[in-house]
Amino acid sequence: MDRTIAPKVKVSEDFNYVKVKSEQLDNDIPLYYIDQPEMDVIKLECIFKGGMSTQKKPLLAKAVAELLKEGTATYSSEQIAAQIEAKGAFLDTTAKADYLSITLYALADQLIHLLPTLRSIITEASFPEEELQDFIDNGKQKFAVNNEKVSFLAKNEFMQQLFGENHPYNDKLALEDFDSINRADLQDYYADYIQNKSFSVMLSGKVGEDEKYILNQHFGSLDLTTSKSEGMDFKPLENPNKRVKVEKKGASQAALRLGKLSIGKQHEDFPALFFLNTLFGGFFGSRLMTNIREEKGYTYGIGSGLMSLNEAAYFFISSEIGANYVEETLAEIQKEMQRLSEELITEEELNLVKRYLQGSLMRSFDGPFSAMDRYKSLYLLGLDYNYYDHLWSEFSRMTAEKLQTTAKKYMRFDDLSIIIAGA
Amino acid sequence: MIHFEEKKLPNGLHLIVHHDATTPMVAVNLTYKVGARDENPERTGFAHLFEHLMFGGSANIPSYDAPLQSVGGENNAFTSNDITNYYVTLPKDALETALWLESDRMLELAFSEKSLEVQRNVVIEEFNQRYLNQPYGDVYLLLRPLAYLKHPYRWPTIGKSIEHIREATMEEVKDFFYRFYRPNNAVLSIAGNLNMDEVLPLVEKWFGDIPAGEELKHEYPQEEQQLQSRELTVEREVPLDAIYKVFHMPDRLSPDYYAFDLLSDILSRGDAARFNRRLIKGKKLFTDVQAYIGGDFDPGLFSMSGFLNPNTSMEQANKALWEEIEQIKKEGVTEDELQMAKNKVITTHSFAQTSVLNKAMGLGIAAVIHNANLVNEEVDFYKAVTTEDIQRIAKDFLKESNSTTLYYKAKK
Repeated sequence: MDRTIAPKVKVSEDFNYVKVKSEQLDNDIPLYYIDQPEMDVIKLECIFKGGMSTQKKPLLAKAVAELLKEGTATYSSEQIAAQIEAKGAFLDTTAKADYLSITLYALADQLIHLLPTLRSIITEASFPEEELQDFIDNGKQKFAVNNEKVSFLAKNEFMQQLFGENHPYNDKLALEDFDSINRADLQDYYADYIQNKSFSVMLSGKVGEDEKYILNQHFGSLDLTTSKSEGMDFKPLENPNKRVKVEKKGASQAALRLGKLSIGKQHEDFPALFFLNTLFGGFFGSRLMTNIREEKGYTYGIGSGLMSLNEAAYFFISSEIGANYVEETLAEIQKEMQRLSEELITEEELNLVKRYLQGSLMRSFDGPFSAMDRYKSLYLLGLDYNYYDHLWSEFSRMTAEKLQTTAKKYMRFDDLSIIIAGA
Repeated sequence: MIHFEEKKLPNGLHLIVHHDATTPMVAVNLTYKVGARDENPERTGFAHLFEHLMFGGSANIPSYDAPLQSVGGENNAFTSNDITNYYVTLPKDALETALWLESDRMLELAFSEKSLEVQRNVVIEEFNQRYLNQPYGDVYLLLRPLAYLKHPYRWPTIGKSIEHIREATMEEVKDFFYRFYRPNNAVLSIAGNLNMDEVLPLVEKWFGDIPAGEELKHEYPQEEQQLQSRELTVEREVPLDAIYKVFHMPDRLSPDYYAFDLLSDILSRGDAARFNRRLIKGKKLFTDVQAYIGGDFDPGLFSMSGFLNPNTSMEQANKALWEEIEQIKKEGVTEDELQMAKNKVITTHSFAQTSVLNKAMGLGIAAVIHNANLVNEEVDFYKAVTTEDIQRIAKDFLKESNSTTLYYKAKK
């Protein structure tokens, strides 16, 4: 047996994955579900469009999300927590850039006991003043702790540079933002985007006829209207600063964030850019990791990514590096980025990234919860499964030339804003 | 219920296979019975440094990652005080690639000077990123040597001092490898749409000829009973005062381990838990306060940690934590509270069983702790805990004399 030769394995070129099924509840609420009957657990997610993009003040959507479970007309904060947790369930409410979601994780046979609480949250949240004050007080303290982290400082300044002061996608906060929100703001936001507003339900795990029936009983009779939909009238900054330093005294490492606005999943060049980003900084074997961690040892980790939102998309690079290596690291990032435009990628590296991407796409659909997350990401951007089929086939026929053309168009170091948080 | 089959190869490698027909992926998990507790006190952080070196190429394969990525695989690893765990997920048809790669680095590492030099630096940056350049990042660097005087748990996995990493030599690396990275000191667990019949020949092919190492006893200097409370006060550039209080608790196989886990949940898991209701919301003393256990194999720590509100004094915070403890000693917990904590454990356990990687990892680690079937028995161990047990462990262990407290003060 020759251990230097890799065993011959045949990995399928076909991309088979689990798709959601859909139905409507009696009141036309769209229900998307993936059933795996062997399971005894269920994940239920209610998605309300809007999120941060529709907030009129910073922090508002996050405050609403956080306080949804802190009291309703029928139940106190304590009762809500007890009702959910006594059944061994977990309730999570979050506001993201373009949506707000209420997610329940539970044993499927407990669903019937949990939905009345959820229904109350959706229809009659009360935002008690005292709970809001706790949120503000504790939020300020946690904010102070986060401000001690260079990665937090760099990320926030990056969003500020990318989107500008008042853009709702800019989630950089100031201490004053905590005091600027009041109960009436929360109630208005709730009335406009959540209370008796149409939403979508995503169910995954054990989703049999019983579970769907129970859901329809509790949610199918809600009298819902469409939420206020205003297009965003904010534009990202046209000429962000090229280099910003955020001072953090005594930091032994600096956090780096580099990036720029880019194209999103809807764009025809996206599959090639996604491929290119993976090669550049999107996985452990990427050029950034290989060069800056595995060759030079400047950092514990460095990576790059692409983010698609409804109204914008961006590309970013992030790392925390030894304070002495900042300029060397920036020079290496620049060099690696230029190589993308100047050199054709070898056949070997092309194939490696191709197989890695195909494997990771397969993995990302593994199991009903992951498969539902993949659908959710499509749904939020108004895309359908053609996106993944197209992505797979574009990966399969990717060429070195196409990657080079894409790099010249979207990966120019001079276009990047550079944020450095550190001493 | 996770069904599984087990085999032991003549060289001592323990193989576990779990069949899951619902996934196109396979998870390959390799647990080595070596962690920070196995280190020489003068060379700490070695097990973790080693985890990094394991990706620097093996005797016959220059790169671990590239061949794996080129069949669509993904991998990572972690080190604890007790074990080092490596795991891979990849498409089922590529299983043999993972076995080839894992067996070659069990056979012999490349031991390249360049890799050692770079990874020393990467670990130093990891030390900076996770322990020094984070607010409160050095807490367990301070607490461990205070709570433990003899047991090797007195240092964290990253090591006592970064100098130990800086000074690591190739000779020491090789000794460590041939001592601990042997088939008889490892458990290989594989989960996916396959059976022992298909897996065993492949595992024998790639791992069968790796020589066994010396039999290791896995015995460690045990801590003597703590008879007097200990405390330490430090001042740091952080925004909030924080308090950390730890107590020695029983080992991983004691039935009381489960009682401690449930007690920590009753105190702080979820919005309905005592700390949240009483200390954060009610008395508004803390912005955040948690109770937790570490999961250590040898007797570990039951910990409490809290971030103080700006107008709370350390004395008030300390007193509030003791009041919570005293109340449990005096009145116990209610049946409802205990049942709530148990139900959360059951749900979490069910969700964990939906992932093929979690299952492979759970089986492997359970086999190292005691036996693989522990993954199935554990829920019953949790169910067996009574309110009397909770009250009893509070009385027996949560005593002043068994406590170590760190007052972590914000520099004004």
